[in-house]
Amino acid sequence: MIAKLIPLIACLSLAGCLRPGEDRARLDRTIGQAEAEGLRVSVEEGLAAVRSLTPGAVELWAQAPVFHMSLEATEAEGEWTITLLNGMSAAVLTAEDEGGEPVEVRQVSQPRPTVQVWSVPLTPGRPLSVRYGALSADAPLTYRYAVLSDIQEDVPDVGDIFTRMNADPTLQFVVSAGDLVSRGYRSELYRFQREMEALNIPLYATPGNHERGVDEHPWAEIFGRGSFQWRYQGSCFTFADSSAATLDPIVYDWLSGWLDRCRDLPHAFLTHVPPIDPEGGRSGGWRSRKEAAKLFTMLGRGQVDVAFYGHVHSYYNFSNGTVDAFISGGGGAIPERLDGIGRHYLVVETTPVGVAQVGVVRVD
Amino acid sequence: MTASPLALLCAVSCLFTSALAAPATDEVPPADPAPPAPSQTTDPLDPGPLSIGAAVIPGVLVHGAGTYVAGDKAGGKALLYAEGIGLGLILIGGGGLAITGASRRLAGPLTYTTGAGAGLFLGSWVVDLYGAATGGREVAPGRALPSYQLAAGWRYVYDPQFEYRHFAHLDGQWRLGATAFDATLWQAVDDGNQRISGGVSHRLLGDIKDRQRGDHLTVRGGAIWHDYDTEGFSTLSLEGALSGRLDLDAIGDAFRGAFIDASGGWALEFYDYDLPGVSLGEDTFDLLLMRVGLGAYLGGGPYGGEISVYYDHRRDDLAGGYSADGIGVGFLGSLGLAGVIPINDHWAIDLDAQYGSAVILGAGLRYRGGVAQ
Repeated sequence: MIAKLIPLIACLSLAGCLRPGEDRARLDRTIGQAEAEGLRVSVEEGLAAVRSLTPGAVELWAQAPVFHMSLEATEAEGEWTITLLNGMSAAVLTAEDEGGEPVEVRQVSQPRPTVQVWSVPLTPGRPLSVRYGALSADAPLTYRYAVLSDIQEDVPDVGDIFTRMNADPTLQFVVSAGDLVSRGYRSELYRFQREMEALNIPLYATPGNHERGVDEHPWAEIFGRGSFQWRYQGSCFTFADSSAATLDPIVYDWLSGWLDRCRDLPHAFLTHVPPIDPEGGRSGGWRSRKEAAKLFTMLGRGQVDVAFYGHVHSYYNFSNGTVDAFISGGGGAIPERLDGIGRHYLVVETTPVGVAQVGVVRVD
Repeated sequence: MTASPLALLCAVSCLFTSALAAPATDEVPPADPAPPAPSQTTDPLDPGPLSIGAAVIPGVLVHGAGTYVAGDKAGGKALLYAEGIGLGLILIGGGGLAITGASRRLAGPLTYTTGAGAGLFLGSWVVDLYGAATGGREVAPGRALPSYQLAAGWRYVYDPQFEYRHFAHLDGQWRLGATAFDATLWQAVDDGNQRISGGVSHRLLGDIKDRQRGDHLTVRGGAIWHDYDTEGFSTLSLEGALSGRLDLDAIGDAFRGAFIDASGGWALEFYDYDLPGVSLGEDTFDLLLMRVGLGAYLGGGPYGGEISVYYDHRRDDLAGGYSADGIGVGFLGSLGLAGVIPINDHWAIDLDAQYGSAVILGAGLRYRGGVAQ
């Protein structure tokens, strides 16, 4: 009880709660960086979390379809096993040394469509630049993906949704605006990961407020960054951690750069809490509508095409300035009643020039 | 759109010059208002350490315990009932929100119900502390409502999301009997930010002159223009609200000198972004307004003074909303403290503190004159 009161007292001491997302943003900077057991790993922009590093083996959780990393043996020469979780089945691992010479990487196995095991030879003093992703992933193409958020206590039944998704071979991956579980405990997140084993495509997510329920931030350890951006088939995806109903100023700094570099590309923005709830009687949005308007202006100037939110367990389509905004919280959490929606996810088609279509797939 | 600091200084000077020149003194009623009528309690109240302790334990759970120990048994029981009603409303409203998944069709009424319940539940404990500590105070609201008042001050606003920190604050009200017109300006002096609000209110119930009590029921309509020049957007809000005050001696002698405020309403907000092809109102959102507060009269001068603490549910102002962690994130508004402390018959010090997504601290000088008839 006293332990719970201490943060409350800290909050009431005025400054404690003005940046509730700061600790998470700072933690994001550490994702994908590790050195132990004779290996140094550095994932560019933290787009994969280092799950474990044991002698001769490293396990990564991918938060992007394509990412780059540097690997360097620090003690002895030898083969290292790289296990990629949450990967795309068509993705490959390629490596080259500092001189640009290709280094042979061997796929050891692929126990599931989203899990691949690779073997890479490493030599001390000869760091490798490694790319993960489908060889054609950088080419602008038309493709489809799903948006699924707010599963929470319905994790045991999320397999129904994954089965529906697996039945659609055109889906490349799933993106999520968070609230995958109820409280964010480590055991819950691993339980969700086990359910994901039934899904044939990767799922990339930013955390929701239900993942803020514990102090030790297991999300970062298990799934990686809360705020990040990646590019796929010529379009951009930006995830921003609004699990505290705000974006930390550190995230705004990142966002400013991310918007600049994707200004002329199709661009989807995902964050958990809708900056403004379109239902003012409920006002389940951010803690400040002025901050929300500041974000809308930034997204508009960055020519973002579409925004996906969760948090509200229903479906809404409205505008945020120039951005087409969707709330889709149909993953199975206690639904908004009297709305006639129920469990659902979205399917989005993106072309090289923008978002062509957003459709609702009802599950029940 | 942004006023210069020099223009602002001129405006302040003009306001106060006008205020000082106004022939209001002869209209002002006697400075010492008559105290409230003697209580009906036969036994004198005995506030002190024992009653304060009772207000804490078991008072934190059994609201009214402190007041009961202080000798106002009826008042103590009333607070216990208020706690029970408050708890019931929280269960109905909060439970309703949970069961309906915060349905868009019911969220408004259920939020009001929850807010009223939380106000009663928490307020009954704070009032118990007041009753246990004071046993009631022989102080009343000012006997007169000023026909005009002007205030100028400074506000420090720390919001990690915005660059502004210092605001000049101007506030004025002109009253014609039951009807009053008000205007307020927040002008950032270190950033391009300006908030202008104005409105008209009408007292449906409550004394205007020779006041013995502060009770009232008031309806107000108003508008707010808030320009964020630096960030490139502005908002226009149109709103209406019903507000009321009840002097708490109505429910117990131990609560003399204290009052409760409550208001509820609705706003419609039109957003304008500095983006090509986007015009004012392209994004329009509504907003539930709700505010509850507890305060104490301070006496002093014909217009009196008061200090209050309050919860404001709106999240569209400079204070924003409190950052509750976890499941309740994003649903709370701000906490505040407001005070008007008389210096003499006309002048008073304004105090303002708010805590939401930003911290606001401020003070100013207020001039009050004339007598509303």
